[in-house]
Amino acid sequence: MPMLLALDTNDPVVLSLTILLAGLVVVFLVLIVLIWIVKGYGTLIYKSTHKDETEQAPAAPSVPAPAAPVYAAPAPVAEEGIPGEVIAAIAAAVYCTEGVSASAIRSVRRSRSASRSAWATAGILENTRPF
Amino acid sequence: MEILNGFVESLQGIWETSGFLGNDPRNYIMILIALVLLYLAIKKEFEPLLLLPIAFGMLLVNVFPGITAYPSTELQLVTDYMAAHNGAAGNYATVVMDGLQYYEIPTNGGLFYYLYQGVKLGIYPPLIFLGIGAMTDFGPLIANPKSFLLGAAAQLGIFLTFIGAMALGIFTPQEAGSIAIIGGADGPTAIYVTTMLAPHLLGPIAVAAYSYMALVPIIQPPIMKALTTKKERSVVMEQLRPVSKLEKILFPIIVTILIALLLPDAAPLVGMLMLGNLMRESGVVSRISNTAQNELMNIITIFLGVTVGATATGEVFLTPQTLGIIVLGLLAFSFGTAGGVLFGKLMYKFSGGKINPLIGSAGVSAVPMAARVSQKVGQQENPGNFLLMHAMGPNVSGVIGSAVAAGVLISILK
Repeated sequence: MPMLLALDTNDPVVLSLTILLAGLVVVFLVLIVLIWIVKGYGTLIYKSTHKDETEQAPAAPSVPAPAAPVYAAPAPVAEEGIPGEVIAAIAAAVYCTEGVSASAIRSVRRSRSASRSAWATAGILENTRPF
Repeated sequence: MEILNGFVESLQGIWETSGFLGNDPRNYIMILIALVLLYLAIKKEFEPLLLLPIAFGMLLVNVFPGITAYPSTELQLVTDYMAAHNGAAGNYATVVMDGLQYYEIPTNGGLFYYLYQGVKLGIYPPLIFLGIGAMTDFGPLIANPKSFLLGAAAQLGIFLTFIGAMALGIFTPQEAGSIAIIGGADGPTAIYVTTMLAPHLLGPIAVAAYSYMALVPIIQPPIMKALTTKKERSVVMEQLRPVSKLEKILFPIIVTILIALLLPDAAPLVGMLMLGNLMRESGVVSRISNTAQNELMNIITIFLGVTVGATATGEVFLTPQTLGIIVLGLLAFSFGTAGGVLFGKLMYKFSGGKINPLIGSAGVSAVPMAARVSQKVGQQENPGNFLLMHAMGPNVSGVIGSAVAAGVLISILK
């Protein structure tokens, strides 16, 4: 049922302030509830994923680590046709974004994803800016 | 001689049925405006994908108003009809007037009358939202949910403009609501609300909304700079966390349930936006996701553009009301930008200087242009600062926020 019936539409001040108050309160309320929900399920998913990773991780070796380990990562297994320079650039990019947490590049292969390229995506974004 | 008379009569008939005699003089002013818009679309490339069809629709309707004509019924004497059809009777309803029997023969409406039904019945805007949803990555918003607050704050322009429109005293509450929604910086939402509340203002409101969206890079920066300090604009924000696929899939489902239950009037817009997004994020319907992003979006854009442009006839457009709408639309955009930036300043204070207030201006929607403006203004202070992904959070939140605001306006004013 339209709420307007309950309002004094002849008084623009009453109507204006009602719209201002109701509008801002409802918009903020809905979006604050969404913040809680998104944070809540984000935390749940993170915890469950983290738990899975912890369970899957191998048990720590009981033997002590060598005093001065020499880091020698194995050469990554690259798909045929990917030149060494590209592998070096990918490794550098991974290091820049992930830091030392990505200890080694084990393999490099072309993505089989059927999704459009970054350039095509940029083109679509450009073409649909008005919306 | 008979041939010459026939020739002259034919020319007279063509002249009398031409637009030169039948057109309202105001239509010629609109033709000039349409030509200027075409120039801006083609030469200056101001939102050409939308401005070009809008301008051409405007041109066509002012040259040939019949293109939007309603379907009608012509009366023809039954005897005349039968004489013209070798005595065969027609399969039409009959009506008797002054003792004479007439057939009621239906005639088709103009092309744009039929295309306009998608606007009038509120079909095109939700379909556009379907395409937008299929193109939108809500990842930055999910990674930083506080961005929702900026999307809410930037809706301030809508509600303040409503007060301004009411204060002018020349608009009804429904018209004021339709004008105010221009502040949402969201074309389909503005059209949707206007078709619900004040369909007679669709032309000026759609033209104002899309024109100002094209001018976001000009309107916003002065307001952003005036309301922030150099120190605030230079804040470099922390990198966003990666968002899992499951989070992205759950997001559109949860948003739809919550908003459709709370504000059923916003359900068509938000529901279609989230359906498009679910198609994208689920990854199992890439064919229809691609169609929604490309073919469907382009087809609806053409229909929406020409029919919205066709509502801007001289009679409707050249009124003092339109001038009021243009001015109020600008105020709505400016208040929305200011609301987002001021709330961004508040978050800057409470976060201990971790949030750059410039991302607040992106809360007005206008995806992704408003986010690009935040990025550009931020880089003017610190060329190494990349605010784009941070600004995309409030930007897509603004789409949801303006749809919720639209639902509020419709539920109160309809």
